[in-house]
Amino acid sequence: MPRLALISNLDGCGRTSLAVHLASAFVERGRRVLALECDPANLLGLHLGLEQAPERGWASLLQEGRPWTGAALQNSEGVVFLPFGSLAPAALAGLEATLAREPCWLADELAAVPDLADALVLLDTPALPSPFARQALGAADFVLVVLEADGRSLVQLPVLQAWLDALARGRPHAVLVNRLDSSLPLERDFLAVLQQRLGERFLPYPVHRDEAVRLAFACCVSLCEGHPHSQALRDLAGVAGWLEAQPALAGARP
Amino acid sequence: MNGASLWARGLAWVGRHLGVPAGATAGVWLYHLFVLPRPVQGQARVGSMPLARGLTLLRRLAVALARGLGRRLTPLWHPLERLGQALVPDPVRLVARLEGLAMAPWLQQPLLRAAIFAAAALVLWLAVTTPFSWFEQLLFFLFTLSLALYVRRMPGNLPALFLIGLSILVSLRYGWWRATQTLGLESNLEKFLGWGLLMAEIYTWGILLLGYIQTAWPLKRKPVPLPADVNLWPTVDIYIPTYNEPLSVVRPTVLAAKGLDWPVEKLRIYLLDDGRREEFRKFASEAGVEYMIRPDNAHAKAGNLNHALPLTRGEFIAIFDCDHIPNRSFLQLTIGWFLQDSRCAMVQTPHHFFSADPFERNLGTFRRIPNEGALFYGLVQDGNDFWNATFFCGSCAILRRGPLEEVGGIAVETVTEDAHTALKLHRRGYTTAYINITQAAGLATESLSGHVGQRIRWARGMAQIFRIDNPFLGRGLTLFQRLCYSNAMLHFFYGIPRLVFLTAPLAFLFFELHIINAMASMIALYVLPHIVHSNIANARIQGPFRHTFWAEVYESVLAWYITLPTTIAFINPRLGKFNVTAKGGLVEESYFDWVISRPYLILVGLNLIGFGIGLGRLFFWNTHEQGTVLLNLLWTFYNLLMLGAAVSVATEQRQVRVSHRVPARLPAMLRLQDGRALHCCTEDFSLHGLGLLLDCDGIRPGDVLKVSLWRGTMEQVFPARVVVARDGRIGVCFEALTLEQEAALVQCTFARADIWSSWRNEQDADRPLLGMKEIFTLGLEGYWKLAKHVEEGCRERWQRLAGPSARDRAGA
Ligand SMILES: Nc1ncnc2c1ncn2[C@@H]1O[C@H](COP(=O)(O)OP(=O)(O)OP(=O)(O)O)[C@@H](O)[C@H]1O
Ligand SMILES: [Mg+2]
Repeated sequence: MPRLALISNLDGCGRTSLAVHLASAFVERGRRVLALECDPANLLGLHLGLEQAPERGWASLLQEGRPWTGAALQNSEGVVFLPFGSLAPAALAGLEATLAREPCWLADELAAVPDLADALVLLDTPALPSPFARQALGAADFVLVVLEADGRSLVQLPVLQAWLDALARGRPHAVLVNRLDSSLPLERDFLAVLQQRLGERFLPYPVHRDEAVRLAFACCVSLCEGHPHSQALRDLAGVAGWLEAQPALAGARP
Repeated sequence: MNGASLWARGLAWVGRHLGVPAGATAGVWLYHLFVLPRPVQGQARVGSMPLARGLTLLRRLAVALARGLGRRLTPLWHPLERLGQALVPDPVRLVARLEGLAMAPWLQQPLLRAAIFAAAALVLWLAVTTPFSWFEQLLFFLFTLSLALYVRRMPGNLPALFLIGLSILVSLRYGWWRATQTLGLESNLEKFLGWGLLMAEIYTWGILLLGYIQTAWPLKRKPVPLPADVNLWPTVDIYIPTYNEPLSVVRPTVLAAKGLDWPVEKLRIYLLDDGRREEFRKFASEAGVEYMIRPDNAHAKAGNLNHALPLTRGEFIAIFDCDHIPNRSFLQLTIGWFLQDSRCAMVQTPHHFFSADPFERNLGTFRRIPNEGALFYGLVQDGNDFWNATFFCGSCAILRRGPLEEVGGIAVETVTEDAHTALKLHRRGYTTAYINITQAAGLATESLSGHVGQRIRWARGMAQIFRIDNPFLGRGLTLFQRLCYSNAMLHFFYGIPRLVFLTAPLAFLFFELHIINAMASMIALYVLPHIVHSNIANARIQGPFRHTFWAEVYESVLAWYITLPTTIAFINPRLGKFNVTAKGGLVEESYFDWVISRPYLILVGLNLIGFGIGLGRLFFWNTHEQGTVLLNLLWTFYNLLMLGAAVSVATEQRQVRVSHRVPARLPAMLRLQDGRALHCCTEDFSLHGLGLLLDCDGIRPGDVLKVSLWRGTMEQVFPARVVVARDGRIGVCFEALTLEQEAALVQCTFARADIWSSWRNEQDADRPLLGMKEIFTLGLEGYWKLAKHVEEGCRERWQRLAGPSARDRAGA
């Protein structure tokens, strides 16, 4: 059960979108996938085709003391996902306190789920230093850091590195640039600097800025269905292929 | 009713149908008969006069006939092949065993080898010289033919050698018979013509044999990888000589050279401008390359290169003609051999053209039938390489400075400085290499006259080398190097022999001169095996690079033009001057090149008359030697086909685009104004725009957008405007690119490492019968085109002569 965590310390850089479309891409490639939302924003369901944000999610089930995997849903494309669910502020604070006490909570919980054996688990997270993101870092077999080709990302690189050293030492990671507008010279320059700084850790398929991503979300369709010729879809297929070739993510095929 | 009135009424009836007014003059009648299209009910077909229509019909008939013939003839092969099968039941094992046998240690003893050679020579001697009756000769032919038809399907090089052996045997037999049995000619004139024909035939046998030797074992050398340590890589100078070519042609070459995969500090690019143009100097400084001029233009390109030699200091010198755009991998693929072999002085790669040459354009064979250069760069150079005789071809090559300086730089004594330089290097014992991977591409010569001019230069230069530095004489060459060079040079003397073959049957048809003293049936029985076997062997070894009979087409077109220059250069090698071929032009309107085709039109006329006479002699008068007449008729018919193809080449087809589009599937991205980014792939590219395959919903002509192309993982973005958008295709043209963007564009397109690798695979494979069909239809097409142009010419002239009055009357 290899686990892939999408991590960043920037808000709104596209982790949730990437998690969703990567999940579709992996399913397309014949892989079993579970997308797990570690983010109280509770948006994953909307991205994956639900009309409204679900009340019931793994966090709410946990709160009720029921087995938390019971909230799993499957969309028409075959992506299995576990939304966060809606949680009252007090309950959320409680959960956060628990997570702060037990840094390996998520890793242990996931290891205890039996029928996930050959599935790839994609962990969507809020921006660091949220405790949810830290849990995901601790549980990941492979960390996919999401950045953008801008100055912010460049400045945040050392901070990110410190987080990785602290929580994911010894486990591989790669940096993916999302929302690249290659027609802007500045973004191309930042991309080149990032690539040069990161060397081997730079994932060579940046995902382009593509209005199709937002259109798909707005219209409640998958990229593949609504925008089959979009560059983002193409890029994501490249990313999925690249990730699949990483030894840490190799899993038993169905 | 008397005869006169019947005639008048008939005439009036015909006139009514043709629209000729009553009492018209003979001129008006002729005009209506041949020039003015007959009014047709319903749809009026403009421009089809009886002659052209007749020819169209004939052409259709011929195509159908050729198709049917192909189908009829194929079953004929099968029994013959089965006979061969009965003779050699398990070919693959046989080939393997023979190959093993040839390598067996006991066979390596010199004495035994000599004995085997002697025995083989004796058998050959017997097979060649034993006189046969017609029946025996027929059996002999059937035997060799069935063997050949069977063997030609076996894999490997050994069967190819066997086919070559058979062909040599049969041709020698024919030659022996020709020399001993057929020369008892009567009058002196006949003797002269007969011996002339024999000489022409001896020449073609010689070339055939030399060609076999040259291509017996193509080396197909692989590139040697470079050392991992970049510090060990040598320094390289790139020379780009230019004289009068427009800057637009030179720019991509320079920009691509700048993008070569090589450490920047070890690569210097020199633009050698013999035109001394300010514009070029500016461009060079903007692009960051060296610019070099010299005070005079002595020795043209060779002088230009030699001038740069002492002023630069790279260990290696790569030369690209200013219109040959190098691929980024050129140096990576070529330098390895220099590092492996310290005696290696030159590495050559193929010349490739991404636009159609005049043959391909005017015959419509671009990328379908291997062009004239395909044989040389696809096979002959690989064959030369085996004998360490790779020729230097002036461009797309790299030389080691030391040896080049040792032979005094690029040779200046002849107009083909490249081949002569290589000859000098070989004489000093240096080795050369050929890497048959296209690593640069350029524009082909635009017009037929330009093409002919270029071939004249090659032919003249080769003849010059043959005279002043004959490869058979002098020191330093191995026997096979001498043979390879001789073939390259003698090859260009085909002018006279080809003209002899095109006119030989006329001697008999016109004047009843017998220039071969033998029964027609015997001639057929000897000459056919020679032709058939050489075609089978060549189809096997040259299959992908030259289709059967095409050598004849190419040579027939050029024969007239290279005859004089080669002869003059042979007599006085110092005469004649260098001419540069014009590039980057455009044939704006279809036209018929009457000047270039004049000699062929005369030959066509003569052969047509001869054919007519022959038909008459076959059926009506003087019918006592029908066999001979028939043979000469067949020969004339073949000549007429060749001449038809030559005429067809002279019909210059209109070219539509100024910048040539190269078909290629490359990934691309469109960034639209609404923020969407669409992935697509290119259909073709040029320096000015792209054709893209893409569902064009929402994209309209006039839209401004950004196009991305990739070079490896490096994305490059270009501003562009949509020109056309329909049927899943979008054409965009670039908007003012900066120099940087232009360089990026060249590197994303023309300079890609693998961009030309798929061209060869897209051509049809050769089958001799197919070649026959191609020639058949092409030849007839030539006459059809000719008729159309004659028709147009007639109409124009008539209208000019007759003025408005004729047009009025025609309109009435
Ligand atoms: N490649 C892309 N091209 C264009 N828009 C994109 C792309 N990726 C993401 N977006 C858009 O960016 C916005 C933010 O995306 P998303 O919610 O996935 O980011 P996030 O990192 O999960 O944000 P948060 O920090 O809120 O969790 C969304 O509107 C999404 O549609
Ligand atoms: Mg999110």
